[in-house]
Amino acid sequence: MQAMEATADHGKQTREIRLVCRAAQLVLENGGETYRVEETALRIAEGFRLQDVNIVAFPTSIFVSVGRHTDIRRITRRGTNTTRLAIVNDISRRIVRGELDIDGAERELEAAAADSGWHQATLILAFGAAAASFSLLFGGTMGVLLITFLIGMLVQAVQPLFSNISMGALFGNFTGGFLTAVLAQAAALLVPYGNVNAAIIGGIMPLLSGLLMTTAVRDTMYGDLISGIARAVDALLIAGSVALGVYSGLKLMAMLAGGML
Amino acid sequence: MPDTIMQILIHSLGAFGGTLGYAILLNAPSKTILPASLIGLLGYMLYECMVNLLGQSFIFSYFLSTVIISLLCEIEARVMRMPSTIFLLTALVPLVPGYTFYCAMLSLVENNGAAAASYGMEAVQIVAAIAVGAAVTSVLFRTLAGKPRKAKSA
Repeated sequence: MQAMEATADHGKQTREIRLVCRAAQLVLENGGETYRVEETALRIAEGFRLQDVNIVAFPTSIFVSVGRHTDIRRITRRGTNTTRLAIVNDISRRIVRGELDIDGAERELEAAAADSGWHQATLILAFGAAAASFSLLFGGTMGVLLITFLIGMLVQAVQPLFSNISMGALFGNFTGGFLTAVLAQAAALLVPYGNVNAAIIGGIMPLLSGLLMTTAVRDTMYGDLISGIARAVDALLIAGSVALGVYSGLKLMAMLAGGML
Repeated sequence: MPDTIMQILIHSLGAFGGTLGYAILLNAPSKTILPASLIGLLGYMLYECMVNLLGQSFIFSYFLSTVIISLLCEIEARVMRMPSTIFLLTALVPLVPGYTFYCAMLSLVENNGAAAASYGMEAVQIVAAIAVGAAVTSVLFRTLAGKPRKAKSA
């Protein structure tokens, strides 16, 4: 009898640890800072009255241990989806207040993870609008605005091709930079619309998340040294792949233009 | 002078549109998109005014704009009961030097080490100013305005 109770208790605790780990994973995968990942996990653990909880989070992995039980998650995708951050935050607070039991929490977490958010058509428009707006910051005129909007829509339209391959983020950013450079120059050959540089820079701005770098420095300041360094490397890789894409595009256009002359 | 003001207004409009689009790309909760974009617009306008009208150094301008943006984001986060990261990630977008990092990387690809070093240096300075501004404000805000969370051993 006692053994059965112990097993039931053990099963419950395993589920709770798994939920803590899953919540931490969702925060980490969707752009939360490292301290926020650990804070969320600790809050949920507190809600479940778990004792002796230790949590370690890196941009590539999460370790949760409660007493002698441990759960580990490998993190492979790193993006930003702030709706999921808001939902996980809300779930963790409701668990602490006792308004949500483990069944409800599991259900809501999985629903949040499955909801991919805005439709691709909306994202295409948003990318175009963001690119066009950013071109204004670099001296864009009405013509540049229009061209950048069109280029931005195309860049976002090809991004799903890279979402499921390995090194997808690098290829996606490279292609984004390449397309922007080639199209901005080709359009300038057909219709002289104005400042080509403003169009190129505006087009790649939504790809170049300097935010990663800011998060990296903030992580470092909060004492999460390893996360900070890892995120900084991530940011440099992304900026590097965009730059390489733009450079290849510019070179290709220069070669083609040279051949025509 | 009117030209400068016109330019600041156009740039701020660009910052607003950019933040708005970026918020959707980050899949922000729909009710946070407009407030975050407005904070982004205000912050960028403050930055441009400080650099172009008041003649402040760009590092100090980045720092002060970030402090104001973070403060507004923390307040907005309390009002809407959402993590402040949501607002911060979108509102800071026009300020963060993604472009400068790109210039540094492009100079590296073009085998121009001096330019890469200079751009890289500038980007690091800006990032440091923004990150310090954001972190200091959020820590101070939590300490002064937040309910004191009991320190738990982690």
